[in-house]
Amino acid sequence: MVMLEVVKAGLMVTVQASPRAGYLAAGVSPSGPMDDDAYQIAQALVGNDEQAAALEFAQFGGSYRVSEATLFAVTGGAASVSVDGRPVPCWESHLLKPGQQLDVGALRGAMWGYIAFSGGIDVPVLLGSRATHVRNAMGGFEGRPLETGDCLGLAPPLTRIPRRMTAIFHRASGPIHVIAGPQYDYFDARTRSLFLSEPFAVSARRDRMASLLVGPALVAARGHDIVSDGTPAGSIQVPGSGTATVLTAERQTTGGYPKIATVISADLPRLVQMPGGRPFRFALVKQDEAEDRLLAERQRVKATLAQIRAPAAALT
Amino acid sequence: MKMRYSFGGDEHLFVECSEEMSLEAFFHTLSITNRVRDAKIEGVTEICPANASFQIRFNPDIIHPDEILRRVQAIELADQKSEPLIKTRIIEIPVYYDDPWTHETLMRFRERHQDPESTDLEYAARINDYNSVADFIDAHSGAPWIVTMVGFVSGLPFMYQMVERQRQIEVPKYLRPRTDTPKLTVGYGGCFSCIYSVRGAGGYQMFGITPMPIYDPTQTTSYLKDFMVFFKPGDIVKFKPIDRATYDAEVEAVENGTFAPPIREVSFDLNEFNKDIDGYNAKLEGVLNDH
Repeated sequence: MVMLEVVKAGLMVTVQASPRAGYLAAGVSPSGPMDDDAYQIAQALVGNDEQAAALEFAQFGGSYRVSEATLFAVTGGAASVSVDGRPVPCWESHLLKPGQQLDVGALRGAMWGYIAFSGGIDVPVLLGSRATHVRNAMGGFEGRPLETGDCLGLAPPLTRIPRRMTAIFHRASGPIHVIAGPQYDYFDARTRSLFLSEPFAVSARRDRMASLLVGPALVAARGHDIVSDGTPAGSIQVPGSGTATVLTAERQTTGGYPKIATVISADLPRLVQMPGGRPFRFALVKQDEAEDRLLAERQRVKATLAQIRAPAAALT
Repeated sequence: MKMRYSFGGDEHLFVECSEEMSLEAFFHTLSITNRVRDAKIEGVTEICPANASFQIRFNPDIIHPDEILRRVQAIELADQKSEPLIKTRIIEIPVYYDDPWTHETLMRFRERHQDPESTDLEYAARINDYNSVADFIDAHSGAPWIVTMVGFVSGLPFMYQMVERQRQIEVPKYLRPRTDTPKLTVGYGGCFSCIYSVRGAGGYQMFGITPMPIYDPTQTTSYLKDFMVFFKPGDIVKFKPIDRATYDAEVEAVENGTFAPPIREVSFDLNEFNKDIDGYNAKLEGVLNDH
């Protein structure tokens, strides 16, 4: 088996794969990549299918070696990536040979990065997915973040021909769109207006579970305790402190705080990747617009994945 | 009951049976979610009951939101005539109340508590008008509970006590959540008891600990080999107070693979239950004790 050695662990490096679906009623959070678009692009760049797993990291990727020649790709943002000290670009795949060291430095302009290896990380499928959920100690590599010295298996690669994107994958700018949350009516007109007009920013208190926002305190006129109910991805729950808290990939499956709004699926990757302190505003849209935006975004990602190919020279 | 439908997100339908918790609201939730599951609607990826509400996740590429709304509303209409009757199981869960591990933890986070001078048990007993912690434990373990939701983290049950509204225990959560809670702590917040399936942050009051694992992602625990999560909504739970010696013996039995929680199949009829709550609970306990 091809072995992947963690020479130096990055920050919060976990094995991630397609979210775990169908076990919400047992409290099993879907987990999966924070930025599914960047994750899928990384996987496509090394020729992996949907079931394969890759590494996700927060801000700093770490150093790796492999036992056999393997394709790798780094996506998510702009990072300084090098092979044996020689810089290589992100968002395209490169060959890493045995004895060479891959160094993935700090990520710029984004929070979450992905390192995909051809074949994918070979960890067992648990409840339909290879994704890690750290608090549940479930999935991935021993249900935990990677540490220096860990050795992981890689499945046999489907290709060793480097690939690149023929068009840049752009992210939209402008407001983060939300739809009214299940407890929108817990907040009075003034608070709703503050929520939709004042700037917010992601604070330093963020992880795979949630991002706490800096912005106006949101007071729920009807109180901050509800009978606990379901918390979909993008839920903006507001505890008694008034701090808007966006729930993300490794979120709790239920919560006892009112949810003022839900970030639409098309905009959630953009929000989780937002650098800390950068101001943005929320804009309220109707359910059908959120749906249209999601389907359009899926088409866009699909088109991006479809144009990933090996350069012509490599094919001849 | 008047259901409130909304979209909890662009891939979710959120249905609230009631803003207030009650056994009636829970039974509606359970009954409708079971029917939605049986309907096998194409494009539905999750069906999740939660106390007095439920959420359905769907893939908008496969089913239009208006269509899922229409289908679920039709199911709800059909369900209105159904009797609140379920086939379920009753399980006896041993609890070592006032144990040293939750005690150590609650002392560590005393400044986050409403009453730093008392323990969580002393505080809960006092604000619920019990004369002593022993009387309070009698009330907590005296009448059965029904699992109304499994969530927050994997396998964590929220349980609602099967007693008259005026006899229900009410305790607020900690003022600020703790950053630590021992695994298998029996906790309390609002009108719900819970069992923390994993170690970690938490805001519920801590009353004791059970030796019985309820979640095992390694699937090595003898009774969790088929599925790693023990509880499901509708399970009935009876707590049994145990002492340190029994706790230690049962922890050892779990490790040896010889621990088997007492479980019996039962039917639960909410209408019959409401006619004579104490009598009905006594019968349930009789089933557990093979009477």
